[in-house]
Amino acid sequence: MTQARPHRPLRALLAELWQDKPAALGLAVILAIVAMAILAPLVAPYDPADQSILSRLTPPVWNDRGSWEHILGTDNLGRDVFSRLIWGARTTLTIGGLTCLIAAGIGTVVGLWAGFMGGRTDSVLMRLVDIQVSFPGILLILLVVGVLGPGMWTLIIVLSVTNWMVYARLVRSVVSSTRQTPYVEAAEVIGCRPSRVIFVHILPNLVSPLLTLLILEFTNIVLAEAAVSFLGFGVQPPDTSWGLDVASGRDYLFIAWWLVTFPGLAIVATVLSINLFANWLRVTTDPEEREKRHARTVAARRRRRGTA
Amino acid sequence: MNDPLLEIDDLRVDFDTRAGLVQAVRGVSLTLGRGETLGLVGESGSGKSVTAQAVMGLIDVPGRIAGGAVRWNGMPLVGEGVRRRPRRIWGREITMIFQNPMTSLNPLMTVGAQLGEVIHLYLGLRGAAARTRAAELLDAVGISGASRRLDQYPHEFSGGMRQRVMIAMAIASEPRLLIADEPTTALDVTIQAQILELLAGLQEKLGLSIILITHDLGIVAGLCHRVAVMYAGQIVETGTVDDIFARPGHPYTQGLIRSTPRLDAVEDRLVSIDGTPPGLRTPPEGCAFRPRCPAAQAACHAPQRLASHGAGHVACCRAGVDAWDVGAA
Amino acid sequence: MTRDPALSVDGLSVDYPLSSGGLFRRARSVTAVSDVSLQIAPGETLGLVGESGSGKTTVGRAILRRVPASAGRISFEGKDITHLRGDALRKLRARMQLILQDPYTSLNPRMTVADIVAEPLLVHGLVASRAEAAREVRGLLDRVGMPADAADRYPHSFSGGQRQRIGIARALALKPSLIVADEPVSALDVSVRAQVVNLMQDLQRELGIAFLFIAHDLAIVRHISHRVAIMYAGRIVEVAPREAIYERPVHPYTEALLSAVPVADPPVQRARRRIIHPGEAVDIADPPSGCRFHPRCPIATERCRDEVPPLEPKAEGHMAACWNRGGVMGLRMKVHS
Repeated sequence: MTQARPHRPLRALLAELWQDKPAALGLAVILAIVAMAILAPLVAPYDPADQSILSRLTPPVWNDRGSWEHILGTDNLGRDVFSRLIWGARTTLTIGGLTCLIAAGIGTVVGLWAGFMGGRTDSVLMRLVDIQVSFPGILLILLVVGVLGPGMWTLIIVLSVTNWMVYARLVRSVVSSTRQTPYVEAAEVIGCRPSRVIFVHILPNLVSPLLTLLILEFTNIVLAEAAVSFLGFGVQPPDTSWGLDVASGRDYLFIAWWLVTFPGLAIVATVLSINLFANWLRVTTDPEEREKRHARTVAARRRRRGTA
Repeated sequence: MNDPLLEIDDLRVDFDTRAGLVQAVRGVSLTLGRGETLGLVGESGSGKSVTAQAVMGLIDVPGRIAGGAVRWNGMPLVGEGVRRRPRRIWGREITMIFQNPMTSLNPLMTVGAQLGEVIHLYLGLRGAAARTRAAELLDAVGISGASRRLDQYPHEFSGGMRQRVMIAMAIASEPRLLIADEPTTALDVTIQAQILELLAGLQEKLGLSIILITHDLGIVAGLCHRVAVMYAGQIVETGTVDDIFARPGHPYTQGLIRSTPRLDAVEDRLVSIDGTPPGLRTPPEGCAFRPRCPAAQAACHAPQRLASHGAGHVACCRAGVDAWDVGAA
Repeated sequence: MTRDPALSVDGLSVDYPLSSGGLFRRARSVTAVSDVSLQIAPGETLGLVGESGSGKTTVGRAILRRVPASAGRISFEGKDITHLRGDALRKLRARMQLILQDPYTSLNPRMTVADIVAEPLLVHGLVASRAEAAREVRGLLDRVGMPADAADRYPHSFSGGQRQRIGIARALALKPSLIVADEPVSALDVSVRAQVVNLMQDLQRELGIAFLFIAHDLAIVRHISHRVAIMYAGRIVEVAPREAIYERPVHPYTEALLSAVPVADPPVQRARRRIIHPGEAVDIADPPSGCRFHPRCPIATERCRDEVPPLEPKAEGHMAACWNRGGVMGLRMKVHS
């Protein structure tokens, strides 16, 4: 029984994504935000730090007093909200991306080590994880910020240090369950060295669960960055970030609602889109769930044809 | 012959998979009499378990009933003409036990509480009366110290004992049909012998009908009255147990019997059925066994029908010879 | 036995940790295998039979040095291998191979068949080039009856029986002299079981491989083995040539086991008297004293409760561990009413 592989796997995958409209929309929004962040100098109409006292607190364009010069209005210093949103995406994505990579890197190494060695090494490393988990994150942030001073890099370091544990736990559980699988035993009986067992036989099993976790964790980091910047310990002016903008806009909440609303919406849109897409990805990487989803699609199509 | 208890008529079950439509059951017809034990024999993917699930109304996404009907006492149960879900029959008159009893028991409830639920649901008993009945049931399935065991949790029971608990739950509603899907496959031989003995005893005492799904011909030989052999989603042969083993009419049945080593004899070399069962995404036309059959002929490409092979014995092959002797010659 | 055994195991015991043991706790352990001795001659198949918890799989793993022996000695081709480590152990792997039970999980789903079969050649540096590896793989696949075009495909496109053939090809790649086959056909469908059994017999005849055939299916074991060892609760209770075990079993447990196996022949099966012992397999963490079968044994006496019966000769080449069964002659006593 030969299973024919689809000729164009990517196209087949996209077609499958298209069946799930919210997930497709999620991916589209994510890609748009990423593109916006990368192309910030080209798409942003103004420098985000440019102040103009004359046009301060201009409302968005659809408002009576709004103008096309500032589509989403300006803040209390006359800075263009739209441009700040675009540049803020850059900060947010950089912090989110780097933090996730560093945290995942630390977590994977610890998890691999614990899962592969087992025994006492495993116990020691996992207790370390437990201790770190039970340590209040905000306290650590205050501590590090106090020593290093606030800033983007401090934020990345702090968030990495407070978020690697979840990766370590995931990797450890995948590794220790994969270690029990017969094909890993077969590899060891053949005479493979431990390094080969890890890299050829165990590591590939981590790719899809890690990817799913990375994407979900990204939303946590986005929210954490916003929260820390909101508190004033994160990104510092003249740099921008969505969380910082929400923070500085809150004093003007009743006279200039747009200062808080747009960066807030950006955070919500990012987090929601990622979650919608990640949910689709989770089902897609689970063969059983994927079959069920397919069958439901077929059933729905049949019903539609039946009623038509 | 009296009216059959259960009739399966041209049942079809399809599965929508990403790789295409899989026809898991392709036109199965069967009848089961009162007090009869029917062995449903086949390999994985032959459709034997799916057939049983269809009878129990357990077909769910990605599967669906694509045609045919199941009747219970002449009343439609599955397929066309079923108005409301006949829950009064499933779980009460027809019950089922599975290969792995641990997954069917709630690990957080005592065995007594789980039995009590079933007893309350079907017999309307509560409290002390329900507990007495539960203890009787455990006793009936050969669990000693029943009143003490009722307060224990499933993990305190061994595999064989758990299967006994499952059987106790299955007979609590005084069913008329018990479907046993590979009930002893996960158990050791000595425990398997105990469970089979129990099933045979219960059947005699309660006048139960049993559908026993298995791949083990030895179990069929010891316990069943009639046998239906399934291959690639179809029934290829039905008959009494003695007939099937003494004069198998279908080359697949013949091959199955002759490729099974026997405990009481030594063969020089086992008859081996070459190849593998066909995929059911594109089931072959004509006889599904043709590519593996040593006696296949041109006529086998045409659709086959079950043909009489003696009293109460039908086989889906006209050759009527022992294909494996022909093949060896 | 006149030939030197390929494998000789003396007084093997294996302890397993019961709880994994934390930072500050000492791990509790159970003895999964106690005092097991067995020999396998070159080109011989020894069937190792037992129910779950009997320790048969652990014996196989200890021989392959996958689990450490807590006592006893394992010699392979005349060399003590009980404490080999590192590279010496890796070299040994080439001579001793394993066939696993479940063909669906024993092949890495992300590797092609060619990569799977070539892996042992590669890690032992037995092939110089890709071309040479490909040639070897083709030969091995042909040897186990797989088509040549299988090499470039992934395991998921094969059936259980075909996958088991691929697993056998992988085990053969290093030209081992002993293969531990752990329930190699019990996950296979009935109609393909015979294919794999026949293949293993052919390979043994042609290549002179010794097999330790671990199984619970007594009918298959009878078909494939030269000698059979029966295990119960971590001990061997009986070892004998195939015919002797099946026709003249000595140990009451062997008798019960044999009688519990259904025979696929309705008149014969109906006529067989089954000896069904009450009770379940023992809890290996808390085994009974003396003979471990005594709580279920119909002929148990005081002595069975107190003293462990030694595995001793009861007839030519026939060993059993029972206080109350003296010899093969005159022991078919009626014990069941």
